[in-house]
Amino acid sequence: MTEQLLTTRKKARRAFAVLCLWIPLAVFAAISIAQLALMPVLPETVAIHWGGSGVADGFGPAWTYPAMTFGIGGGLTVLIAGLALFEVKGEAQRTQYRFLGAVIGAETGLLGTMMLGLVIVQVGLADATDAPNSYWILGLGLIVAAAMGTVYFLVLEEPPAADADERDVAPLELGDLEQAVWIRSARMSRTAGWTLGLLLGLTTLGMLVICFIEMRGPSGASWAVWGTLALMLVVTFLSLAMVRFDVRVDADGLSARTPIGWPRIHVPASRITSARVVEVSPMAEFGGWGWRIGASGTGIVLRAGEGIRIGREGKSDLTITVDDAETAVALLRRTMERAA
Amino acid sequence: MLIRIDPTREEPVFAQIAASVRGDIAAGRVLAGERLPAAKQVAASLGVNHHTVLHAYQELRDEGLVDMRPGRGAIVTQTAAAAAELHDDIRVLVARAAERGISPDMLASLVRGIPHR
Repeated sequence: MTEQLLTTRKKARRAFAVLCLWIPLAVFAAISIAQLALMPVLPETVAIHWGGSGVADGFGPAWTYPAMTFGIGGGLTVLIAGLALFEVKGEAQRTQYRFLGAVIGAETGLLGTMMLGLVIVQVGLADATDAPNSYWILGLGLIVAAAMGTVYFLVLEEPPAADADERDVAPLELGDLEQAVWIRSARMSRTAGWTLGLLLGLTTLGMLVICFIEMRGPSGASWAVWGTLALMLVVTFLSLAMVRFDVRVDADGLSARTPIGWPRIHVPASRITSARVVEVSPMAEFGGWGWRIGASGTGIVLRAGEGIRIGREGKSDLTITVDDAETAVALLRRTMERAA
Repeated sequence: MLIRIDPTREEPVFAQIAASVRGDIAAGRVLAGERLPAAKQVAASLGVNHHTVLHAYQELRDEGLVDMRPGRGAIVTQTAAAAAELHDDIRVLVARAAERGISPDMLASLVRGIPHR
């Protein structure tokens, strides 16, 4: 870990903080102020939702917009950028600045355009039911989001990294004929599990209720509702399938599989080029939790903290967060010695 | 959990597997409430028959370190936590015995010979 590497990383971190935390927050604050300033020329009750045909069908007090802009826009930004900036285990650790930057740039572009645009079209209206069809603002928002996401992706730099906490682990001492296996479950924390379960359960249940209500109507439930429900079920299934991985290290190499057997991954001993213990910060390094693919390689990241990272011949690194990683790495190093 | 077996040793394989698990429990690397890995998985990795692994698990059950219920696998019991607390004392005792030329096997016999309750 050289001085130069640390300087580059500090610079990149500062740039990320300015571009992805402070600028978006300033943008959302400015839009909220503009919306507050426009309140005198807006109807007291404004349209906040438009139906499928472009007619306004949901209404709320005029302060809804500044509240939503700052609450949702600012909140999302602080959540993503804050976790990426502050939940970091080492100064030189890998990051996902470009990917997260693109997400934040796009989010700022979309929400900013829509929140501001939807207020501007209602300026001077006497009655919010006359609010014009505003789908073009959604279109514009998507264009701005794509543009800002691209700009952020190009502007942000992904500096070189060194892995946090590279413990010096000696290969496990094993007799010539001795066999060993290391097995451990990688799982998310109890709190995270309950939060995820509740969120998924409640949203899916909510969608189901909406479906039943709409089915009783004359036209039945729309395809959009059915589609959302189907998507929710797929997401729930995938999330539940991946709350636990059984990680195994033996003479064959390393494998990880979910209780239902899919998804799974196996790396043969002969293709493992390195093995080490690392400290993982999910948002900063992998842009989130779960089965991740990105600039930091493949990750099975169910929580923050200790994990195994192996180099794979001809492929990206594989990281798995799991307890007692040191023993696993010791055995992996012994297995590599034998395979060589 | 690290399980290791050495076929060149005289100790039967099932006893070696049980000793590995016991060692991990004693060292506090496996906590009460955790599930032992499926016998089939362990057997496949070590190249032994899965009945051998089950035999080891049954021995641990007889000692009260794990609880085995059909369909739920082998779960480490609260007794394991108590055993882990003795870990440091036992290590000291083994070291002191070794200084006096007493082997762990002999020490175990001595422990068994002490009347309790």
